Amino acid sequence: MRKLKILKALVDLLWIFSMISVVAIVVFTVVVFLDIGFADLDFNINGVQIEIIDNVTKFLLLVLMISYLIVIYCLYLFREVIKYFYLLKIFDEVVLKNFNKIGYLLITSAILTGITTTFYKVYYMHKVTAAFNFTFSPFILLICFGLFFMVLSEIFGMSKKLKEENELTI
Amino acid sequence: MSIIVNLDVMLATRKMKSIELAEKIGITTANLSILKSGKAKAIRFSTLEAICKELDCQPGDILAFSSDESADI
Repeated sequence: MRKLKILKALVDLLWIFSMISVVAIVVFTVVVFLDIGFADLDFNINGVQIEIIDNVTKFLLLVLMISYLIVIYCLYLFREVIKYFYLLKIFDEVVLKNFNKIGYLLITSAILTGITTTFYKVYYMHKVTAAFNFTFSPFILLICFGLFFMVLSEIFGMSKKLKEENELTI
Repeated sequence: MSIIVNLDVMLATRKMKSIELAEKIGITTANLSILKSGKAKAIRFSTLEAICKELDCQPGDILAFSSDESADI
């Protein structure tokens, strides 16, 4: 349970920092969409340098922000799961549902980010590059995490069934 | 489930109360109630043995198989 305490503390800390970033993102979105400032600034989002701010890039920025907010929501759901673990309600229906939801949302976020950045590269930079990095791509990593959470949900479902069967063995 | 537990019938024929049987075989009345109502998923051989010993019957007297699918509902 000590590990769970450390995990809870880290996730809580991450949650606080992400809340600050959410506020910053909302302000940034309003500023970009209303053309208040940042006219001469270049943005770098997920390694993509955004130099031109027009309606298409505004839309792409919006999609990227939605994708980011989805990840934050996943963090919120994960916090809920940890709370249930803390109360020793490990095989609760909420835990199963949250794991599955986190899985779907992470995959959705990865797809949204992937499509947006690829579209920007093709549409504005007119280049399709084949990059070979010896690090994990965030796109693939996010999809792997999503699938992992979905598998975890199914495993917890099986465990719940086994637990019930064990409890109903007289 | 298509396995029917006839424990009620056996208890009635032996004129024994559930609580009495539960005490004799060493399980809780709540568990015996689960067994009687057919909600149990499985029964241990040791429990079955204890019931058979107390009620002086065979496992077949307590458990029966029914192929009726509606029993699942």
